[in-house]
Amino acid sequence: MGLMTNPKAQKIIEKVVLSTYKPLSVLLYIGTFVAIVIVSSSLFSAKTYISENALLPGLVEKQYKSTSDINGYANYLEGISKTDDDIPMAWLQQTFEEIGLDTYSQNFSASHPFLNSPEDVRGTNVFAILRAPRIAGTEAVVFSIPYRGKALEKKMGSTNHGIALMMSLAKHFIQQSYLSKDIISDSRQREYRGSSLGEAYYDTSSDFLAKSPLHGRSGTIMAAINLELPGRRIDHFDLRLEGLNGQLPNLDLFNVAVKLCEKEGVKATFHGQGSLTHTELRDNYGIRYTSKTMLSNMLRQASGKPHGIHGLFLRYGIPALTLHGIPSNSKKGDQSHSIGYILEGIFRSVNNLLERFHQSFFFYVLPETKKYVSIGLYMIPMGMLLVIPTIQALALWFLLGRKSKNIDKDEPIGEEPKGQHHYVIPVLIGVHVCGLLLYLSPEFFVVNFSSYFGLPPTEALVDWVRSCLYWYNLITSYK
Amino acid sequence: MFAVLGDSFHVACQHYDLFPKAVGQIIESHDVKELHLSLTQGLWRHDKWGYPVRSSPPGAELWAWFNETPARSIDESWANLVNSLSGLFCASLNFIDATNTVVPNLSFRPSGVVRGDERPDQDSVRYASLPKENVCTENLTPWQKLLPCNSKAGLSTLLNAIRLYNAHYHTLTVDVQPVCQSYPACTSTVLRLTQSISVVFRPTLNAGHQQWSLQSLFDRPLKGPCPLAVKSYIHVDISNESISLDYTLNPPPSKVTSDDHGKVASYDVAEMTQGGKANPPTLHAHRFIAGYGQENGGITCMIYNNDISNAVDVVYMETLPWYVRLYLHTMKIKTENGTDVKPDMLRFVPGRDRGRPYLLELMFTLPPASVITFSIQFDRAFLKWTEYPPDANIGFYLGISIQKHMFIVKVCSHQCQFTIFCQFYNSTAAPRCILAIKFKQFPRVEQFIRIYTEPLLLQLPLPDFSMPYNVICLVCTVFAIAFGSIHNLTTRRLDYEKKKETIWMKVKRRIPFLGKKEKKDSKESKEEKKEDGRARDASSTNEDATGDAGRTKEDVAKGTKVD
Repeated sequence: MGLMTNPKAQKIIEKVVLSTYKPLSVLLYIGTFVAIVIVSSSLFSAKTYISENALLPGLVEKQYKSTSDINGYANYLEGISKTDDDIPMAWLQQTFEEIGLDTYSQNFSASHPFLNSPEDVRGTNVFAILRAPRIAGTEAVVFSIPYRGKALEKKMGSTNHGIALMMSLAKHFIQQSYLSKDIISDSRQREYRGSSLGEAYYDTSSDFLAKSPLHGRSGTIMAAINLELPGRRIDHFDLRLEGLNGQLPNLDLFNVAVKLCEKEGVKATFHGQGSLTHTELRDNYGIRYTSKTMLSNMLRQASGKPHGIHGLFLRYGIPALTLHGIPSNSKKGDQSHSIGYILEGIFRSVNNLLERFHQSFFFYVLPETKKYVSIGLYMIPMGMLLVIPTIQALALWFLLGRKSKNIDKDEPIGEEPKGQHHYVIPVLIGVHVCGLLLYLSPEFFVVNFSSYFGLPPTEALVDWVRSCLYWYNLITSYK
Repeated sequence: MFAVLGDSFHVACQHYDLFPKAVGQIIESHDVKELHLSLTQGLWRHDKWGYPVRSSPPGAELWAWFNETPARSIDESWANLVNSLSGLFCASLNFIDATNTVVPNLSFRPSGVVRGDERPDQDSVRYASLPKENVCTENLTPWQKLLPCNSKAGLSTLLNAIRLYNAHYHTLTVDVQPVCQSYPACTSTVLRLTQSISVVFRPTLNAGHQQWSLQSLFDRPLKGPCPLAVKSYIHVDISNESISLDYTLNPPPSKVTSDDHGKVASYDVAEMTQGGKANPPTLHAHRFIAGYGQENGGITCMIYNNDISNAVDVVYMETLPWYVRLYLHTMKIKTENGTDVKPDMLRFVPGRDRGRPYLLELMFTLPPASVITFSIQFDRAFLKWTEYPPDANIGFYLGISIQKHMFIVKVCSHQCQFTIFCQFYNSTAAPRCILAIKFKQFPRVEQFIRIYTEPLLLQLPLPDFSMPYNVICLVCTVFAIAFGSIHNLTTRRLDYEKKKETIWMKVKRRIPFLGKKEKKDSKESKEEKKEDGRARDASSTNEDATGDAGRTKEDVAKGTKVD
């Protein structure tokens, strides 16, 4: 710190900063992007490993046997979802109860913060709790599946086979004596907009969500798996991790899923990218795939939007991921067995946990399914990016000091006249007006304009921000 | 359930025959009046299984009444008792200490005979529970050894550890209490030891049928009674026979009503074979942690009264460890429509950090056909780092809460003279006796049902234990580097100095033959500085600043400063 107070050293720093800050900023800016791409390459990213010893994925004998009733369940659900939008609550409840699960349902209605009544979302969630014999209901794992119905199925694909598989697995698990975590089967209507399990489970209140009380619960939720299975045959599983506001689950959970998929011969991908072979990675083109995957991962996190229902669990500190099945083109063959094994394996691994997921990474980006870039590495480009504003600010500070010195000595160096502040006035006004409008905008704009232009509320808000930026540019460029 | 009367147990003679000596000695040496111990795995699901024969919470629970003696304090006796039982039953009861022991006032009454009109002294009861205790064969073996026939003959041969520990729920209990030696003229009391084991099997486990036999449940047959036993019964509850006739008992029961005679099989009353979903009993409860995160939260307990016509008085007891800091003012007891229920009685013993748990005892009335929601808020305390258990990441177990439900048993039929547990069914208020096991000497008019709620797992704020080394190293280094200089910068007052002394000038001043010319100047500057306290600071700052650049050895050796 002596360096900072020493005027001689200060002068040297000033000189260096002022002479180099412009090219240095540009260089760092470019360097950041280059560094991100390089970091994703096989040279820097490390191989994933399972850090929690208790998980032991795939070590136990496979016991699940898919039965014919899985097709019966799926066919029934498909018949219903072709004609109806609503969840077949009575049927789900009855089926779960027949299997031997404690079943509860919950109605909810969500309203929009700004828009009154026209688009209230109503729905029902069905929870079925498989009480584990080895524990007094203190720990639980969630198996959630969205129920989509007619309208949403067209948009997002069917999940009926997943629900059928969930029932078949429940039938298997209820006969096992090793379970030490309750399994909560959760069929959920309306995707994100619906009541999240957490809201009901932890009894938190929200002004925009009315819900009926839940009469049964299990203990602390240790993990959640969300399954989206379009049919009895899939091409591959796309694993989705990004949650609300870019939160990620523990890397161990992802590794377990990848390992079990591999074991059962089902391809697992992340943002469409499977694991690359050694030669592929060494190849010059390897970096093209890895950087693409990593950047799309980061982009998804930056958007703040969850990449599946699992994203809502992360908010409550529950590690969760989505197994999204990509439908296969070929119609022959039935993969219910191997998909069942994968899920049995994941649940058995999580069942083995003695503590919550805490061993592995919570901050990471993934260039492919079997490599990871830890926070220590990806923070380097991040740091480079942050150096730019620091240097710029420093340079401005030094320039300011120079000017004031010059004014003191009455040696004007610039051509600017004495009252040179007038040019900031339009900028100032523009910024303040924009700020005020932005502050008022969400409610004002959504209420007035979304109906006027026929835009959905979320898009209206985004458009409003965009137009604000546009106006701001216009005003500032005017000077 | 196995019961031994201490008829021949005589303190003075130190003579034991059927009454186990191990228990007798513990009772005697610790001045214990009554003792109730349970070791349980799993949670009794009241809404599915009705009321248990003997309620017990998950984990271990121990409560005892003591005789007051001048020789020892009750706390001392309690500590000794806990350790003796810990050894006797191979359980970790020794974790019971002052931090989890409470003295409940309302929730517990002596279950044995109390002499004369003497009111029980509520200060002589101690209660503690360990929700995390695991129960396994090492607890079963010593428990079996207390039985007169051990596991060699009689009903206890059925207790196959492999089958018992595959069940959904099982509990081992030991109750010692004084009873009247003769009834109704209760002239003297004797001790009675009751050992019970409750197991809940899932009958549908057997290939989808609800068929069961002793062989299928326990994987071994019953060969005969224990020769030492006065009575040996198997009771099957068939109270719903008139409702559903789709089952048969094979072989046919020796007697449908319970009888004092007969070796085995007096099939009586039960719900095990009923198909479909059992109706939940009159009173059951569901407790959970509300809120998330690691800062605060709440405990909510929903208490259901399914009785349409009768209100039920309930005593609610909640004990929480000190690190769950309860706020009594946040307590709310509400009905479904949101109206407040005023407790008839409230006792709150605030916890003390590292010393005493929180205790809350409430008494209130549940209106007929209602759901009462009890809720209270708490803060999660941040523990000292040595106080965390080795598996801190699982969370902290919070013990059960207890509700006690009082009702009157009518002395109804000939069965009821044995009855201790009766049950309300959801539509009628008339109690029906379900199991007639207890002894004749012990009819009681007033009865309690004790209901235990779920244990909870609470996440406390937790330091990152996974990489303490890295974190400590990094933090220490940063502090070491940054602290000194930042402290220096922020606490010194910087000011302008009239004349600056360069290093060269300083050096010249120190070395006589070089500094002759400068002497006058430096003297002047000294005087100026002495006048102004600020300047002194400034100069020493300057010295610091230039110190790195090059102070000569002589400077250091002399230890001189500019002033």
